[in-house]
Amino acid sequence: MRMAAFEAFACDRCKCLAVRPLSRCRRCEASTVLSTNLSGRGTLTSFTTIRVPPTVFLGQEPYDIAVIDLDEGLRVTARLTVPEEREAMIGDPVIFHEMRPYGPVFRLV
Amino acid sequence: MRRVSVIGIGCTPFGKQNGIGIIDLALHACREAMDDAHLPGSRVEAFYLGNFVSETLVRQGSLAPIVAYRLGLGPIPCTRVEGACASSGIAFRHGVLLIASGLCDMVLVAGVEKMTSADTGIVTEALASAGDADSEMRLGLTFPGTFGIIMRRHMHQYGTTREQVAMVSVKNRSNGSTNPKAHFQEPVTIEEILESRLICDPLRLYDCTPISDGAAAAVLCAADLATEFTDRPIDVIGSGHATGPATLFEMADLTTFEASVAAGQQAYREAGLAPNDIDVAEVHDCFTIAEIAAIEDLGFVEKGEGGPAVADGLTALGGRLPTNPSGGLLSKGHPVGATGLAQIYEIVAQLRGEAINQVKDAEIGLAHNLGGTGAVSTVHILKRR
Ligand SMILES: [Zn+2]
Repeated sequence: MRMAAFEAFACDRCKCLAVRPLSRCRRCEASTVLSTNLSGRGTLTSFTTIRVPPTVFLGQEPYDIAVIDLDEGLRVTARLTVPEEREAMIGDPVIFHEMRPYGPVFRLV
Repeated sequence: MRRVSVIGIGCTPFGKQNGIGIIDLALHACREAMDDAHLPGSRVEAFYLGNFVSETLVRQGSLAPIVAYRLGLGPIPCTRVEGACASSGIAFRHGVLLIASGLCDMVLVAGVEKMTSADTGIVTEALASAGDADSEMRLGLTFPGTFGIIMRRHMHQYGTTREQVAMVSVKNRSNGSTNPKAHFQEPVTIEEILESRLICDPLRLYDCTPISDGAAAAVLCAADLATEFTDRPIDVIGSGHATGPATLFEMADLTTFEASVAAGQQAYREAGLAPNDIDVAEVHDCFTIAEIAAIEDLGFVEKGEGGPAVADGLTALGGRLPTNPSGGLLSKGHPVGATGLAQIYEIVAQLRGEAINQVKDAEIGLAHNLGGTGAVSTVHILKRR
């Protein structure tokens, strides 16, 4: 399995992390919010299996979407890949797998 | 700030209203509220109309002026208000502010949504537009999916059981079974809920609200003029309106809607009341788990105790704090833009002593409206004189 760094954004002044690029930090309003690479390691905070998808994702269902707490303290929402023989549980370790056009994909470790 | 009263209310039946368009739905509710207040159109000084997605669902914009003109109101200011599922809670709030500020004496507020004439796929996508398109919705997350994630977290964090969550729907569908305006008028059992189709695990079909058409309206009036129109005015004694994150990943706690907490605190502070002073409440049960989060966020019970509270009957008719005696969104239906004012409609009826599921001696009522995935909330506290 390949491992990829997970790109996020960090305020150069107060060091707080953000999922998205910002012209100003939401916490201290500094204008120096820079791209940073995170480990991509985290744990499962919660998740669901979408069985009735929006029209554009018809045919992909069922698929899992999860809220993940990364080890560096950032929370993200992402697609979750669960191997056939496994069942996801809150608290399970997960790792960033790849970036797709619709967003980040993590998988169970 | 001047005191504000509700002197008239109106509400259409909720459900599939074949052949009745969005303008006619709004006209019906507004006319009923104005007749209830014995208010001639010439006395209305401003109009706010809550609506979420009429452009997408029925290809009609400019709703507020079109409805006002058809009602025969004068050349008054008319404003459409959009805040997803909280659209008409916000419309009510702005009507209150306009009178409280002294700018107007008499304001008509309404909410409307026409949903059943559009394809289900279009409705689903329109509803999802209340989420954050750039981050979560592009992943293929849906509204039920968001609440599925919240429900799983609540169950994990507090030991809330699947049966306790289902009890919200059992209670509300039972309450709604006597409400002739409700979309669903048949009760459901726990077994039926737990055996209904999985939509977004652990959320099932009967944890969700139906897609409905409907409109609701209220006439607001300066409190010192209210008895000119009615001998039983209902006073607005607290009004809260707050913002929270529009995404799950920006929520500090997946079981708490910060907007609900903040709007509740504003309303309680203005009213000089605490949660245990409330006699009856209508809260935003867009999904079963949402009612559990709401009664916790509003301080009716401690965070995490919503599940046992529902199962023990605290929020049932006859309980310490009857919640959603109308049947809530789960039974009445959720014509998105109309929901906030339909809640006000029920609370005013309760405080007048004329509700269908009347809470005995109800003196103080609360209405809680939530928009998007917690992006906006309004809380209003009403009291009879
Ligand atoms: Zn900063």
